[in-house]
Amino acid sequence: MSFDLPSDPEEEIPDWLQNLQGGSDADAGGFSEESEEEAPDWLSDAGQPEDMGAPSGDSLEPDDDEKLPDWLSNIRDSEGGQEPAAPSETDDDNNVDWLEGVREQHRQDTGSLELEQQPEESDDFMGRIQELQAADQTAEDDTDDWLSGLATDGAVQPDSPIPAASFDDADTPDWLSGVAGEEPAAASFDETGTPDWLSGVAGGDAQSVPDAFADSDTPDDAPVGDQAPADDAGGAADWLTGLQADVPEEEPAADVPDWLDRIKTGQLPPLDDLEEETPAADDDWSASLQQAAPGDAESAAESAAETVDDAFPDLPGDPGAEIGQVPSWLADMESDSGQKAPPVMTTGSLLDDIEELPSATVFTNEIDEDDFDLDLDLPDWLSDAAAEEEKERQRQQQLRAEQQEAELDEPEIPATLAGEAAASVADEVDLAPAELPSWLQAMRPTDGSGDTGQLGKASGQEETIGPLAGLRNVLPAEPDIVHFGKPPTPVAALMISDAQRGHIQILEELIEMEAAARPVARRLVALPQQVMRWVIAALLYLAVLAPLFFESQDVAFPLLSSAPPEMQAVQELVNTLHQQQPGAPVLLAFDYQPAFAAEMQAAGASLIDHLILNKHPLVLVSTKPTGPGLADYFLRSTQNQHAYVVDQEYINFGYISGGTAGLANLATDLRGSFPLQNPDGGSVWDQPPLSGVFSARDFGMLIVLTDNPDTARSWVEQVQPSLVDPANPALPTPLVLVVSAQAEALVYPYYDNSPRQVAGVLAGLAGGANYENWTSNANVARQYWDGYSAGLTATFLILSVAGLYNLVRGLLARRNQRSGK
Amino acid sequence: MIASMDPIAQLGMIVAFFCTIMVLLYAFGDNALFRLVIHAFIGVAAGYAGAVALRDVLIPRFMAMDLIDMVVPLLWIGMLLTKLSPRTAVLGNPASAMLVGTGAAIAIAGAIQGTLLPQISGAGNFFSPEKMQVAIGSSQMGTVFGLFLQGVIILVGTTATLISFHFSARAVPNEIPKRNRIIEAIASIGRVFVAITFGVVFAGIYSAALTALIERLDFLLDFIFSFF
Repeated sequence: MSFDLPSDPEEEIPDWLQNLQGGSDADAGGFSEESEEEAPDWLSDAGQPEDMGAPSGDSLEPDDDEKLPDWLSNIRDSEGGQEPAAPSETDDDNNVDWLEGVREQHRQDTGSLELEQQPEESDDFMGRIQELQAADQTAEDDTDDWLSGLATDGAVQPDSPIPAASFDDADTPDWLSGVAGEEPAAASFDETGTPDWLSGVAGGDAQSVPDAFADSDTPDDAPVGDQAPADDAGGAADWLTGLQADVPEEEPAADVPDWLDRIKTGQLPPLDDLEEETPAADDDWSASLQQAAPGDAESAAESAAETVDDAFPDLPGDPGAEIGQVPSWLADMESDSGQKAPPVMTTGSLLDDIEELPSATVFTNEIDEDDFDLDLDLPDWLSDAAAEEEKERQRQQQLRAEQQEAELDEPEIPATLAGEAAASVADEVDLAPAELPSWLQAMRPTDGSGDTGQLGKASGQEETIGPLAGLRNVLPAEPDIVHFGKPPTPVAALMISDAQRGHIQILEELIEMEAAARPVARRLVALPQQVMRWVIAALLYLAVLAPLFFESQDVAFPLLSSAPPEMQAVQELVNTLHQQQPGAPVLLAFDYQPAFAAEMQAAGASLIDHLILNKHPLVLVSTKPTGPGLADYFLRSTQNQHAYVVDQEYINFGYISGGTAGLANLATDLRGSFPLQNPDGGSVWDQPPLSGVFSARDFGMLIVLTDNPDTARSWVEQVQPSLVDPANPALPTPLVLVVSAQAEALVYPYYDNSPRQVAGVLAGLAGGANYENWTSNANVARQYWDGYSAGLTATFLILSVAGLYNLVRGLLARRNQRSGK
Repeated sequence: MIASMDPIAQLGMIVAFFCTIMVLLYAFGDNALFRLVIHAFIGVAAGYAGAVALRDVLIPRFMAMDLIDMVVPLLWIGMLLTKLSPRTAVLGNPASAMLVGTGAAIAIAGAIQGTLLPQISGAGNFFSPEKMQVAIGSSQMGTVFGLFLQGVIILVGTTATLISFHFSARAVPNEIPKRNRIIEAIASIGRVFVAITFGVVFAGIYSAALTALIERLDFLLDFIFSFF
């Protein structure tokens, strides 16, 4: 059997109301099967005599500690575990002592238990009921001996020992176990002191407090006397025995209600009968409460208030009017116990307590709202307050709904304006100050799993592992709190307006246009212009091909006297070298592109031929990868008549890597730059003609063939300084440049400088022709000279004709402008 | 002539002939044959460059090295090879920095010592009193005048050319910024020297191109005549 309490917080009944109900029910004396799910614990226990002796665990299942308000829990916690276990099985909310007077007065008015008979603790009262029933039904049971004595005497012998063996049963519930451990619990009370609520029970007479409570911190002004558990507290433990010693034994008997007398006298009907007797009240226990209280609720509340005033003269004014104030005796309890002051009791707090109660319960069955009419149970002053609270809550909910609808209907309104509007509305309806403004709500994440979502999700989660397994509303576990990576979904969605969306679309289109391949527009050239190009090309080709076709060599070379001085210098250098250093090796650098091979061959063929004729060994290098191949082609094509063989008449060192850095390395470490070896294993530097060459200036001459002025400049900058012998700086190793015609103007300053950085320059076909003319050894320049001359002549003519045509055309246009045409 | 060549040489001559024809077709506008030849030339040149670097640089150098001496070069080579992959390219930064930094340092030092300072010194020599006294002592007034005139031309040309590339101007409200009139006048003289220089360079380029054209046409004629 289980007690089914409503799970809905709003339908939950406060304990003090349950006590009121219990009193009414007791008077009615009606029980039913359906009422079992609604009846308070103590009533259910009383109605089950078969469970008295050995109550099952189901009957003691509810744990109302979680229903306690915090301030009451703190009071209990301060008293420690020394508190008897039995009270923990009942509603601890009955500890609201100042309401006990109301309840008791109500019961007096309704003919229920008298104030003197009303136990301070409902569990005490329930325990007495259980004991009485158990005494009637199981008088011979050893475990209930003391209860039987209680039933017959109406009071418990203070010194009567409780057989511990009776509680050794495994089925003994906790509350009975707590009862069984009362004796040791008394010693613990000595350590912690009497609980406050028990101090009130102990009465104002300090002499009546047993020695065990001598050190208790019972407040002096605690409510005593009338509210003390005057009954014998048959189910109470020994810690009550000392208290009961001062209580007259006749009082409990006199205060026992009729239905308790029936229990005592064995007239208590069986449980089945009891359950059958209360069919009508089971459906609506509040109805039975109304029946038990024939007068209207207002009169009952007034009478209860009067009783409270009589019982508690210190209680200020009308409890109903000043119920929100903390009574002085309760404040003293707080101060003595050292606990946090109880919260001010207001209608709102009471309703909150009502709402909180079911959240901590484990009961699953629900009760219909019709069966639980709170208005019928509450006093008017409390009902009015509750009604006002409910109205205020509904009004706030309606306001929130209106605000949300307004935000959805008007998305374009700026958040600040919306917030102002919401604020104005809030002012009109007198919103609570803690209400979140709408503009701030608009800033909150509307999507995703932000922190709020995590917390909200965690609030409803049920713990599955650990000591908190099965509990809800616990703090989120670590996986929900700690995030080591990005959240799976974006934290918040962007609020994009239509204008922003349009801008995004435009930007995307621009990006797509940039990435898209554009069709190449075909260049259209006017036909006359295209024809003119073809005519010019044909004329040039004919001018060049004609001498070549006829192998004409009739055009005379330039006069030697008119030869440029830089070219004459080259001739003089070769002669000087041959005279002063016969057989000295010459370093040739082939640093030109293949496209300029023809020009370079024409410019340098006669010079190379001259060197070969003078028996100067040639060492070929190149700073370009194609250079070594071009060097071989140069010698094979222009010096074929000499039948030079590689590695015998000339050495091709090949490619110098590193560009400018390679040239610098060549200037400083020539042999290191070309770590070549002969096929026999020896170094090429150890054999003639290179055996005497250790640096660049040991060569007889350095000749650089290049089409690029930058390459020529690199040679001048990096290598030429190393050609100067410190011992004889006036006679450096000559550096000659054989360059393309396009680089002549740019390398000439190095020759024209003083001191000269370049000893001589041969530029283009003209330079080769001059050198051939000087050596009288026809070579490539002679072969190309006629065609070259014809080509230059044709170019000159074409340019002249075109220039004259444009001049005449311009003059005619100007003349026409002057004539007005 | 071509008949006396070996087959490889004959094949080379035939390929060279048709490649030359296709390049010369550019006279009739950009065409697919011209592009094909250009692409083939670029690819062949790149492959040839790699082969030459391997044959003339890597193999000879490693053959001349001991095993211990190979450690540092291999380390640098390995770091440069990491540049092949974007993921490991950062590992090659030290090697790249070494190459770039060393090359820049060498180039700058060479430019200063080999071009800038010698050219400044050479330009000033035209006004050298020693040379003037020698020319005057030998009663070579023409030489004196010639040296002075040459020096003036070089000085004016160099200064005017440098000023012509000076584009700073004072900002005037609501007007287009203009250079100072004096600067503008000197810059106009500098532009004349620049134009002359470009003309000379263009003439050299045309001369080089004309020489290359002659050589190619001569080749075509020789190839054709070889069949007769």
